[in-house]
Amino acid sequence: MFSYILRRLFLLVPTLIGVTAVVFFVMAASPGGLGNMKIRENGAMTQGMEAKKQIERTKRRYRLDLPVAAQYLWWVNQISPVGFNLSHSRQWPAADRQAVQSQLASLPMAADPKALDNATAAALATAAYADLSPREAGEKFALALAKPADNLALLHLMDVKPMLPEDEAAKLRNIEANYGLAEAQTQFVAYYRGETEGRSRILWSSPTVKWPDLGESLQGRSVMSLVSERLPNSLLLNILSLPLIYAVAIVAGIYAARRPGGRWDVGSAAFFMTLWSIPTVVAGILLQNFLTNDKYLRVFPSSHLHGVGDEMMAFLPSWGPQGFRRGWLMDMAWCLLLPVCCLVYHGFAQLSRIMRGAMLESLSSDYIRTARAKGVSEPDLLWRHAFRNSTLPLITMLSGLIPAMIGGAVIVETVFDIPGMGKLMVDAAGNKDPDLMMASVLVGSLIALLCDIGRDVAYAVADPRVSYE
Amino acid sequence: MNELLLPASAAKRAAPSSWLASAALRFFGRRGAWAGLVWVGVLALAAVFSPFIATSFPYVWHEGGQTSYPVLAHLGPADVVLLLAFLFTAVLACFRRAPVLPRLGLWLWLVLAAIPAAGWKVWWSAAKQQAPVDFADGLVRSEQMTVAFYAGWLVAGVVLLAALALLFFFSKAGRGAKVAALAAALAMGVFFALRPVHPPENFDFSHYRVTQKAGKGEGVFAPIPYSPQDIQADLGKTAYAVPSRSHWMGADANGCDLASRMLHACRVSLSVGLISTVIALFIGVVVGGLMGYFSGMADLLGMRLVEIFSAIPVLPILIMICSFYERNIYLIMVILGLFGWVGYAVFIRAEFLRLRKTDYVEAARSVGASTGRIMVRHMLPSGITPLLTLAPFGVAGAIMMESSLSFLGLGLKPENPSWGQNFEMAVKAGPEKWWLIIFPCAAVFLTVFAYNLVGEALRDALDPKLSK
Repeated sequence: MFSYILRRLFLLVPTLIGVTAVVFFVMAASPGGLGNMKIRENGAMTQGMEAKKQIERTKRRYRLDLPVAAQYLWWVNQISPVGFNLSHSRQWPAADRQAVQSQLASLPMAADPKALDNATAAALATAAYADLSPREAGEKFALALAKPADNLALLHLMDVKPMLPEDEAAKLRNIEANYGLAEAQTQFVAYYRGETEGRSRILWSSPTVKWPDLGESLQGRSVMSLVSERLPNSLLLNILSLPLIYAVAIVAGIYAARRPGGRWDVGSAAFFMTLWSIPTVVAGILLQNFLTNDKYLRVFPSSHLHGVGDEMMAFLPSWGPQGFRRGWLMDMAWCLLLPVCCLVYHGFAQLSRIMRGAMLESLSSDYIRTARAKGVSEPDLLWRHAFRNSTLPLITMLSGLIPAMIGGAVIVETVFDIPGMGKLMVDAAGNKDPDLMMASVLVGSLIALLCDIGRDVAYAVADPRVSYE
Repeated sequence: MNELLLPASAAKRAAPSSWLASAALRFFGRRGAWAGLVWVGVLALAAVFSPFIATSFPYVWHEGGQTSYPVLAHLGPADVVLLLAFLFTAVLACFRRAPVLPRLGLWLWLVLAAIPAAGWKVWWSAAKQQAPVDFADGLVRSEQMTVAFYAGWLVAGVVLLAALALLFFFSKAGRGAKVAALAAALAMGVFFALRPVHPPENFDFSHYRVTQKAGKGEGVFAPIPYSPQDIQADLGKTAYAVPSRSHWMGADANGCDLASRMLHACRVSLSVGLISTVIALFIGVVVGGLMGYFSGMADLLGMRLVEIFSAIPVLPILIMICSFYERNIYLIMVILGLFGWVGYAVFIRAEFLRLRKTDYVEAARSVGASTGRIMVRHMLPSGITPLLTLAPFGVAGAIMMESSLSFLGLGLKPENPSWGQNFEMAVKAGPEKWWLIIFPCAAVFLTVFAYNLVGEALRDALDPKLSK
């Protein structure tokens, strides 16, 4: 069993690579590619030189100067847990940092500790990029900073060609004349850091096992932290919904199979079929509009996962001097009721149909007749004999339900304003945030793939005849 | 069980000659399926005739002693194609003796010829007008337009291929009928190329209303006298008008008549569902067929492809594409098709794996039939029928997807009405505007329900085993 799971996890890799390829190339083929939004924003914000510089930076950040295939490989390297380090994320030991700092300490700008820190960071970034030792980089920086206006060529170390270097040099010279050398040095470092921002190189010499880096959102937050913040909420919704779907569908399916063509069979089929035809959007909007508003019925809270002031609530409901208090747990259940309703009803129809079919097959088999003949009670017959032999198709359905629920969660989370993965995705779409968007689609795919594996494992557990060894 | 449900008229007819016909009889015997088909038929009629039922332009107009027909002058290429398609349907339905499939093939040919012919001039000028967006560094160039452009052509291409397949592989029509169909299509193409449809580009929706009120002209107006884009500036403040006699279903945030928008949106909902399902079926049959027939390496690679595409959740990737690409109905159709073929492929693969071992395929192979011939003419006809039972559910799913996308604000632009747009508008407008919620919700639900009913009945009819 263990080796089977391992093998499945190993086989996950090619599929995941395929998924990343689809996601990336769809994104890269969009108008303007990955830098689309940034470039638009910059184009709207500024004109002339400053806009051009911004666009250069955006291009560097999304590696738009590389061919698309190289962009893809770079991105895969970035998001995979096994890969090569990038020069901009190289960590230097404290001793190296100290050494560089002491090299730069004699400069006039070092009076300001923040400026010194900036210069040190720039020197270390250069060292990582150009494969220099920190000492060499520090030396070069100290030399260059002595005469900042004449040493813009230092940028070549990072493979950056400064735009209009004469203008920049004149500006620095002007600052040096009017405000002193320290200010000119600070400006030089700021300029250097701006121009080299996002410039990075793959360090082929250091393949590592690392934490996957999903990039950075347009607002500057790491996508990984956003996802890890939102994912639990979505999982909570799904984990609450799944058992509910199964419970209702199993009971309905079993009793439908007991008397095929009977009142309950036809009635439940028609009812579930009607439910199945209600799009999640429609259900969500109707419930949200008519059950959470003062204008109609205000039974439920209209949005979010918690009511107002949840941090002050006791955990469990209580009956105190001020009357009944809901408590944190019940408050959350109250808020979750409508969203969960919207997520579950869709699965009833398919699942109960499958359950009914499987039960019909079991109920018509010989061992049931034997059990009935020997006088097994009806509930025992249904639940212990027939049901246990009809569970396999239910497990098969698991992998179909979860992707559907990921899609449904997008709508439900948007309607009820729940901060989950679906809401994240919609927000990413609204902001046109490429990293965030790709990451959230990837996470959705990964969950679906893991569910497939989970299904197969559950299948093997449920049916001893199935063997994967 | 099914026999009991058959209406008397069906029982009276001659015994069905083939399995397909008997399945069809059982299918139409179901009352639910009838109800579903009736609803879809009503939608189809609404889609065809919406420019006549809900329009700001009068049918007949008298002004200064002259009579004109403004509603005809404002028909666009899409309207004309749909009207022609309806006309062909009516005409071809009269030839009851001819077999169904050749008639269907002929119909598709005629409609396809009408599409580029009627749309040619308008499409061309629209393409030229849309200046390529050129940003400071020239990164975003003409892709803006080309993506939508190619998506449109891709849709047309897939439909064309499907029509070809229907005409040549399934029809038993003689060469004469095929040539006649081709000739008719060509003739129509020439006719439209010479006299292209071009509605006036600059006009005022309220012109005729205002003129009539001033007593300068007189006309006969439609039952819903508002076009879906008519903001009715001359009628005062109509935004969020409550349902009344003048606005049957109220008005939306822009002051457009909701009934008119709902009626015109039938077209989008029907076409999104049908075309995306055709695309998905086409890809699914090709990939699944190749996998099943060749098995081995092709199967292994195909299964990886299936795994990849079934792992990517459809709505998220749709959201991604619709937000980063230009919003366009053709693009939505193509994407829904591209990410919806997996189920069909798996189905047809299993079918082909079974069929390739059967005696009749072996026999065809032994007499030297080519691989393509075996696959298309011998295996496909028997392999594809069970697949058709899945198609109505695909259509229903696509309609749901479209309304979800519109709700998220990523669907069509407001110029083109769609049911889902009202959801977004309703959520923004607040809870009191119940008409913005109730009517579109009912329309989407009823349509999805209708397709599901048809699908259920079709499944029962074609595959009695599955329904147990």
